[in-house]
Amino acid sequence: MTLKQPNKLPDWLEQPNQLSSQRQRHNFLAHNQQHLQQLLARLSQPLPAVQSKKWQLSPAMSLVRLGILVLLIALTNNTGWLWLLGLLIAGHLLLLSPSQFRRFCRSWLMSTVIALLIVLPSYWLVGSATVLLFGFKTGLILASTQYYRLTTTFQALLSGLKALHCPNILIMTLAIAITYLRMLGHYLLQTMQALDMRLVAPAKHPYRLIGTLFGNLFLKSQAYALELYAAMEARGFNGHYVNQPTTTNRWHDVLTLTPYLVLVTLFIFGRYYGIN
Amino acid sequence: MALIKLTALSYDYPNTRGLDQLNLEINSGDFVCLMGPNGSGKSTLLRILSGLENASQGDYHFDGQAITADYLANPQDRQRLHQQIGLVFQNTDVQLFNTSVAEEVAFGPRQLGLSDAEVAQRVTDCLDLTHSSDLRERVPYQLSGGEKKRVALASVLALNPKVLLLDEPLNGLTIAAQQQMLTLLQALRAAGKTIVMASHNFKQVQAIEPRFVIFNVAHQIQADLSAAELAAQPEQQAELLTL
Repeated sequence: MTLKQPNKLPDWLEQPNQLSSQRQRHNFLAHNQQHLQQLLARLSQPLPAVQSKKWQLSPAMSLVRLGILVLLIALTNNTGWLWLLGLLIAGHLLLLSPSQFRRFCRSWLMSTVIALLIVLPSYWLVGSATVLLFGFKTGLILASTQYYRLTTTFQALLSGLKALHCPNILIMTLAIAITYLRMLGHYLLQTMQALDMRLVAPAKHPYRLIGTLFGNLFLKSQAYALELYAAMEARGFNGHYVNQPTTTNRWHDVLTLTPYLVLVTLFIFGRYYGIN
Repeated sequence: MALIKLTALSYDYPNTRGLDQLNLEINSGDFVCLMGPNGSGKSTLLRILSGLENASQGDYHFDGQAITADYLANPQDRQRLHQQIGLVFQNTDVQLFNTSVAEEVAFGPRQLGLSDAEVAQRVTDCLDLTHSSDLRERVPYQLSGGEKKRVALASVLALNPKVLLLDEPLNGLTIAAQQQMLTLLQALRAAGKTIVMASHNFKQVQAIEPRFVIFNVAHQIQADLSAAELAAQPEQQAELLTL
């Protein structure tokens, strides 16, 4: 390739800029923008879900196990039972790698504190015993869901739902919603970073800027929805998800689920014998 | 003193390495072309140089100033860095958010507090330089991929940065538009701008004789060669042609 003579550049482009340093007038906006950017950056690079190969359950059985655990914790008010379920969950946590365990602790603590302070404030009015009981129950439910989240990929969740004969429309809605949200989050993050690169001084009209940013996001989301639909149709998607063949063996699944089935049996029939 | 200096710089993504122990010095006025296979770390390096990401290990100095997480956390320092470094994203879709192309190009100069006349002058000049004057009143959202690339470059040029970082600027452009872009970059280089560009188009880039920094799949710098040195290595050239 042969190139022509270089263009004549304007004078201002040949002179270096005078660097200006202006104080930030809208600190709260800048801080909020930074926090949102950090949050989006964290969400755009999620750590992959890892499960120990030895204890791997089929996606459907993982969902069943989660359902049983959550139901048992929600239904019982017996502290002995709750301790037992807590020990069972703690047993699962022992299988996590140290880094995963740290992640579990962080997200579990945060979600439990938020639940106790924001979602369940009415319990604080009833008395300390109730707060303790429901705090413990909430903590256990959140621990089992966080464990599931850490050890299950999104594809495994969809596959599990399919194996449990969940309606296709629900699976499709879930699949599109998650993919769509992830894409929009990524787009917003990149736009904010691009804005950050060119926001070389405090924004003159920060609110107008926010409006433009989200206006663009809306336009992009609309265009993406249409593109996604067209792409799915072009690839022959007919609204049916094919069940992925499971890689674990059924006996292994049944054996791993046995303690939970025993617990369910005890919970149902235990009332007659005064266990529950 | 080097304008950009990287010392044993590494970057980690969750569970994968993005860059591994990079040592690189870029002087003022250099034209560096980053080449390498997909996923080798070219874009990651540009994001670190622009201050959008922090290195996991190692040091990054810009004009003698250490660019650390603490430095970038201060909005004034960050803005000072962004006045000197301009980045054209690989996906220029995300870079254009104003209601018209002219507004898009005027956005940066306005933030700098320039007068209306100066802003108007910069807009006209940058649109002329990037052959985008006919797009002036168009909505950036509705432009084609190649047009967006040109407008994105114009909007970054309007800030008159000392360093231009370009992530795959030739992708999606016609041969003629690629040639125009390279001619403009050559002029910017002659004006003393430092240009760091990631590209796969070895044949086209070769014409402007940049310094080639070649990455390998292990996210390391495999070779750092001047155009003349590369010309003497036919095997390396053949490898770059396959990228």
